[in-house]
Amino acid sequence: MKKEIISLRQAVCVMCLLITGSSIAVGVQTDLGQDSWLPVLISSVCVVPVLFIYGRIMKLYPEKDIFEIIETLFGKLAGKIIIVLMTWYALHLSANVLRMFSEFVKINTLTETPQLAIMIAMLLVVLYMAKSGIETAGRWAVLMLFIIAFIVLLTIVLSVNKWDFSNFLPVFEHGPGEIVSSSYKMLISPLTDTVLFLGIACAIKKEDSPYRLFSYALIISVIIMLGIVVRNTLLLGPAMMKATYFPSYVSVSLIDIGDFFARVEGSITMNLILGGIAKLTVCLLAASKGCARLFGFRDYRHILMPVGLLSLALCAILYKSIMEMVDFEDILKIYKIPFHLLIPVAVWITAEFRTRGKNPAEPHEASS
Amino acid sequence: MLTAIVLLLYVLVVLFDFMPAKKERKFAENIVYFALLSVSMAVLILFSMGIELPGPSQPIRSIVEVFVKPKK
Amino acid sequence: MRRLIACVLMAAMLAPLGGCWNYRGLDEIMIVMGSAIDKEQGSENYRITYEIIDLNKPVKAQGINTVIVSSEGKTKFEAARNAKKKVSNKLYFGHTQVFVISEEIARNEEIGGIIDFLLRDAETRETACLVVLRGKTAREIFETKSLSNIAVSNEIHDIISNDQKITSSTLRVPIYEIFNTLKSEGKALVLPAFHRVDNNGETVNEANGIAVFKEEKLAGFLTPEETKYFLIATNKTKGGILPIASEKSGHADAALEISKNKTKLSFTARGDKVKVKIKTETIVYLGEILKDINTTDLAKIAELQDIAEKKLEANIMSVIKKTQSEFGADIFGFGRMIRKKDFKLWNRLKDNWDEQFRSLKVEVRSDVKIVNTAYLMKT
Repeated sequence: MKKEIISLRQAVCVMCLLITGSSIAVGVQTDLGQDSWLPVLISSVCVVPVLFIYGRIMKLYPEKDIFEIIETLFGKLAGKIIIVLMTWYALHLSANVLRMFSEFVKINTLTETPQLAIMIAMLLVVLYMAKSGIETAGRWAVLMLFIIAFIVLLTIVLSVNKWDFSNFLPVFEHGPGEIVSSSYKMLISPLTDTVLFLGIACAIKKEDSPYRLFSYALIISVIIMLGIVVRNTLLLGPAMMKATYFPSYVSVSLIDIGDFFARVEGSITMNLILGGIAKLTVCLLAASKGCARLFGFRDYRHILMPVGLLSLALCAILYKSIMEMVDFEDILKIYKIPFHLLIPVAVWITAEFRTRGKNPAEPHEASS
Repeated sequence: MLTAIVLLLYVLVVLFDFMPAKKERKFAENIVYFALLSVSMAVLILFSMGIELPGPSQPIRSIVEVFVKPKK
Repeated sequence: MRRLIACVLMAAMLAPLGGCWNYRGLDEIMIVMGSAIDKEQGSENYRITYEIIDLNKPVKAQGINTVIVSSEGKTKFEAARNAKKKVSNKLYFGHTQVFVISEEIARNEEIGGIIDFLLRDAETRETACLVVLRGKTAREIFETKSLSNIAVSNEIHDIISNDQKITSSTLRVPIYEIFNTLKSEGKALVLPAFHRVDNNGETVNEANGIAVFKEEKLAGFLTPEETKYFLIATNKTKGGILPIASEKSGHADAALEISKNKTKLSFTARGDKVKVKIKTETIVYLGEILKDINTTDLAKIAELQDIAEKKLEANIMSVIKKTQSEFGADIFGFGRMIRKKDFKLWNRLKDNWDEQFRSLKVEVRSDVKIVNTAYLMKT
């Protein structure tokens, strides 16, 4: 099996798309209305230690993906159990993301198309990309991130005649409790969805610093998300932001230049497809790598298709309606803790002890 | 109509994905491949016919609520 | 060989990829330009009238042709679907720019219900606007051929869109703004109002000020004149004419054209007593004057400016007073201003803000500068 490698730049772009993939089209959904920019900033600061942990895991075991690391650290039995959990999570997340995107398409554009058809269409593209390997995904990400960032910028600039800065007032209307809980919600998703990147971390070269990878990706993603939140606040105002399922889509539909340039929300749908595909690809790649390791496959590519279809099946039965999906978000933010925080921390601590035990002379920074 | 598409999808997957690399895989791998494929196929065919299936949302909800009392 | 297959595949994919599941050609939809919502006499049903573009007739020869169709239903959504009983295709609302509601609906029903219907539907544009038609029914608005040979809905839309630069007698409120106003505290809704007048024997639609809403229901109207001062006070005007009297007494014999206007709203609060300050800075051109005047006489210009300032202040005050006493609805957004700048104070005041608004002290300061007198120096 050929070893797949992606450059640091490609990896940064992939991770950015992983984080911003859903926010582009859906918008950053908080209940804070005009204060929505605050949790973006707070959570991006708070996520730094978590990303450090992910990076450290990568640093201790370069060019290995998390499933390999887990198996090395915890042995066959316990390792397999944890791998099952992480693989399930990758599958669940990909089903979730696919579901969200198909709901978006169904509500805004193709209202009469059966949802399954939309899901299949998206999944086929994603599977094709995943089948082509991580390298293809990397090259795709570089181009797409540029396009997506450009479109976000364009929508901000084009809407300038509808800006209303007073939409940001009154500032801090919401108390610290609400702000903290919104920041946490943002932290757990999408910022720490990056844990799935560890599933394909075998593609990063040993020489590339994972810390650099995470920090560049964080900075770029936060800038993009801030741009989105600021644009939505300037255009929509708190009431509209809270009322719609997809604030980004609604705010872009307001753009109206000289009567001829209107209804450009098609570009948002396009953004969604481009960004969403990358996110789904990473999720599915991680899931298939996990499955491959679970069943002892040599190459994850052999099992990619069934995993993808499994995720499709899961996506179909996941929720009965979009209302259930939004309602489930409260549960999601707790449910994700073991996968985003507990397991990685356990892996990290075990890894630190093991490497210290094996190579006391190996230079590394002081760990806990 | 939808069911037909789902069936077609699976046929295509087997044709284009499984066949070309049939020789490369071990026998065990093939078994796993088809096992997963049949699970997803069963779910999707039932879904496309309109039969409602239980989703993982309910069990997850119950598990989470053990730890965190329902907030709302 | 492979290339051939690839080409064939690509060509084959063109067909399905170009369309979609529920493809609708232009000849399969009826494009609605505007619709009027009424309540049916004597029943609880809605009667909605649509102006539909007729794509069959040649546009070049006869101009845009429209067809008026109306349908009934227990709810607005049902009525929209019921139109299919009369027309060959389903209605398409993607281009609808104007929704007209009758005075009766505006008075008796909460606007929020109509807005909900319009926003929830993905097809309707959030930038479409709402208009109130004075009179018995809303559908009368379609009973004329438009004066500029375009669809009536487009005409209405154009009338109110460009109005702020030209007459400043009404304004355009897109649906998403209506939603924001209804959901936020401290501002009452206003919508453009139309009425039907006689024009050379024909009845046509004319913009007629704004409709004032209190708590989502129609409370009354402001005349176009009063609307002009309302727009100045809320910094929404972009043009318009201020007629003034150049002598102390007498009727208006001079016209000042507003070139730029900037209004600053502020407030001071002592305890829970609020006093609002409105400061307007208007730059005008002298557009018309009856009496002989030497416009290089700066003293005379200063006198005209003075007269204009006092008139402006008086008129704005009178509009505010009328709103306070007759409607008790804060259409100026003073409450919203307080909420944005001093949140804690607003929390104390918001429960009976309407009452407070009625007795609110407002101070108006106007500053008018005449910067040129158009073409003529002296008359």
